[in-house]
Amino acid sequence: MLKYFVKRIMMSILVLFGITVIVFFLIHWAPGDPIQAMYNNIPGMTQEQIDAKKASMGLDKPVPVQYVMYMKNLFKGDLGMSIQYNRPVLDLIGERVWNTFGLTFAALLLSILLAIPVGVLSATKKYSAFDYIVTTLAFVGISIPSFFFGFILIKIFAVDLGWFPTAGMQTAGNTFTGLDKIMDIAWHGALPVTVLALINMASYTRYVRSSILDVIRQDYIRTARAKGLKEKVVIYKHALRNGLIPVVTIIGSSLAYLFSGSLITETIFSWPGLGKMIYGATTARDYYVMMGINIFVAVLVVLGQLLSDALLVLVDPRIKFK
Amino acid sequence: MKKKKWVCLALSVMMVVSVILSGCGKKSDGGKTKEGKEAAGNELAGNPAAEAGNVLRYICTAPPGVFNGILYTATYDQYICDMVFNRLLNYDSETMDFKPELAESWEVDEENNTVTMHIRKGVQIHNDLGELTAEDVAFTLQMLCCPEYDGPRYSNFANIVGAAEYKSKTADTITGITLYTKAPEDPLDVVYSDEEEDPYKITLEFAPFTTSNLHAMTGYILPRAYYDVDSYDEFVALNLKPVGTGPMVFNQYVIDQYVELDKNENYWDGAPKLDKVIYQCVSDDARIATMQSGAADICEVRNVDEDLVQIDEMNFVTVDSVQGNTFAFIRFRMDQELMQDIRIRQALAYAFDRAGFVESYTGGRSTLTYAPAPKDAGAYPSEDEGMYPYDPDKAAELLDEAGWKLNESDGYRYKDGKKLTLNYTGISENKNDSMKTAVMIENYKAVGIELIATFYDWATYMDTVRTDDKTHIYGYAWSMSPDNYQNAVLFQKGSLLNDGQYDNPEYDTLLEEARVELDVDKSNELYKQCFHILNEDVPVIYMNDYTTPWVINNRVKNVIVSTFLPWTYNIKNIEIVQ
Repeated sequence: MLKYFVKRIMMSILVLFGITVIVFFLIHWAPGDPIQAMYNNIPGMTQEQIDAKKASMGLDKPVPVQYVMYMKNLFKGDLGMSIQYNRPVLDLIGERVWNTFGLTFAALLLSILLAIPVGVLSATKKYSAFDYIVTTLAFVGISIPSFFFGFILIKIFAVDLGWFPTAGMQTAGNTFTGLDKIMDIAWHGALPVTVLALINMASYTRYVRSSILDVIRQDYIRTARAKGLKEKVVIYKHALRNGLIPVVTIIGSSLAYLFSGSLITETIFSWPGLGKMIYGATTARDYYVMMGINIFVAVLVVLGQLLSDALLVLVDPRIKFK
Repeated sequence: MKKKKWVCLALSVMMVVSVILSGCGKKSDGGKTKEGKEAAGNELAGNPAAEAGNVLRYICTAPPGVFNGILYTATYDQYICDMVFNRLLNYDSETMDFKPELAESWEVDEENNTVTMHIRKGVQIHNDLGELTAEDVAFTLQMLCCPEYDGPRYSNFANIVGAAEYKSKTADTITGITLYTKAPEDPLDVVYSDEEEDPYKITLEFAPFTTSNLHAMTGYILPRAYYDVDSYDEFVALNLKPVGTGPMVFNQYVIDQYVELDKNENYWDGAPKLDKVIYQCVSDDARIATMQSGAADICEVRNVDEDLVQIDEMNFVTVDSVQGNTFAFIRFRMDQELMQDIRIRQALAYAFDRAGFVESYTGGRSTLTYAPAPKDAGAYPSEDEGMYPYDPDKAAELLDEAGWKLNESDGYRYKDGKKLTLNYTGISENKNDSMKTAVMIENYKAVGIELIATFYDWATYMDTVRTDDKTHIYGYAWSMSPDNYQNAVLFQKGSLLNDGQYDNPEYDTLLEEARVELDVDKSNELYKQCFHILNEDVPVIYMNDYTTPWVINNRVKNVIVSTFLPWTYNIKNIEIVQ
């Protein structure tokens, strides 16, 4: 088992290395150039000034040379300087990553906490009123675009009812501390978390439902029932644990998706996270910011996969990796 | 049977939900009229921002955070700089003439070479860092000319005597900058004259002094006491904590969330009336909703058509529209063989119903322009300059003359067996570009020209329009400067902004004359001639300017919005009714 995970980790490192190569060369080969995009429409800029700026950022060297330089710095923990912000990429990511993490983690937690009981109920009460309503709403949730859903929530709960703020992560210029600060952030986060959570929950519910349905058709459930066990015990002790196995895999791999998927929600609610920065960096061809975020997301994907494998072992004692 | 019943139930639940949702949109339309907006005296009745206190809350896209008066490039950053720093000279908001700010008075010598400035006394630097003197002005100029400086403003001062040598490290002092004090222990790299002791006086020697230099004097001054640090990296590191002499004192920037500024109690021109200014970062799409909820006081309208409808529903705001400083036009790549024929260029101008497009695209809010200058500027040519009205027959005539014959079978023109096909390059995010080309393709087809439009994202577009061998025509948008030279330079040979490769020595000579002419009327006359040449030569066809509406909560008074000045221009006098 340990051997298996060591092997997996080694493989992951190789994969990550491959990702840096592909992403680095792709973004450098894409047309457009950060200095041009930034300085082109400023009167009086001369070609010498633009060249000097490029040289000072090392952008005048051939791409493979730039890659080697980048990797050298990367091993030292230096992700380079942002061209747009004129600040270290690590700082830029650091300032925003926890905001995104808070948002997506709250949404993930909420969607799991809701999706499992709802999914189980909808499976055990198959073709009941509850099941139909849940199924219908789940389809609505899967198909509704987050920006549309977000604006509807803003319109109803922030503008018309005035219960929640329209934008931001905290009251501007506040001097809150301790619990007040947390409550302020929670108040601002309520709407974006709802958007992310409900949209995720919709698909999780479907997974839980179909997976439980599969399980309760199996022989051992019939055996359990034949033994005269209570229905609750049958479902929650015997069926649920097996039914959750595929769901765990999906949740593990959606971790990274949640990070990148929050881009739109963050933009709508002006949440100061990574999502907004990715978009801006790509438009401006801010190479090192793009690289930094790509590497970060790649690490998350790889970690997510590892984590879901580990979780699988936890929920399914039959699985033995070799 | 049972199944069906539940399907019906579920569907009706969905319908009810959607009715509720769509109903919400209509709830607020009843009974509110425009007049309510102008009603005086009851600014706070029904105003959701009534309880917000003496704090002005502006909302906009998050600023990049280069809050440095000489380094910033984004307008969003300029707003912060404009409150924290002072300028040497400023513009009068009515006439756009220069008026004193930090420089109380200034004289130019007869040869147009030397400018002497007298700095205002009693200007206190924030955080009790002492008084601002001529030395701070010299320090700011030295930073602009130092070899490490990589911001966009060096060229504004590159004609100071000795600046180029200092920049290229061949000289240790900028000989064109003189201060009138004894050299301190840690002197600047400028000349210290001991002929008379006057810490508020500075002379700058130019070769020669131009109107562009004068406009550049409206730049911000950084106090040496705070910004004179050991290395350039440390200087840049101060970007997120600016210190100046302006009406507001920088408090903090919570990244991507808000900037907080406090009032400067010791401001030389009297303390501002506001206690605080908050610049809150809100995405474009949520701006109007935020205004509606009362969480903001002022913002610029971005999605004009959609937003103005929503704004109509609010009775506690005023809309203040000005001519924006951005305008759109279509440029020709003059290095392309096809575009070298003036008849083709003129035909392109005649064949496109520009006035009709502008009218319908902007809903009548903007009109066609005829020069790269604002309509009320002295250099704007008179209206009869409005050449090339929509005239497809005239266009067809010109193309016939140029030897492009109409092929009746497919409706396109050919010459030597080659079809008249032109490539248009535009920006994919730009709505104006895509709407415009749709009309152009139709209009040009009517006279036998095939137009093929390609759109790229901004960065790719920038790379493409000037270097590819495909583009003949490209869409362009330009933020005008009050300095005409900065607009006219788009067509000067050798300028990086001349990506159309327009080359006309007559134009360049006139432009150079206009640039060094300090007499405003004379220089306007010269610029008029420059713009006339452009209209004759057609390296460009002009489209519309943009109207920028600002929404301002009625509790806020004295905001001045203008074409060229930031909304923060009058920040000291902005008042909140409580």
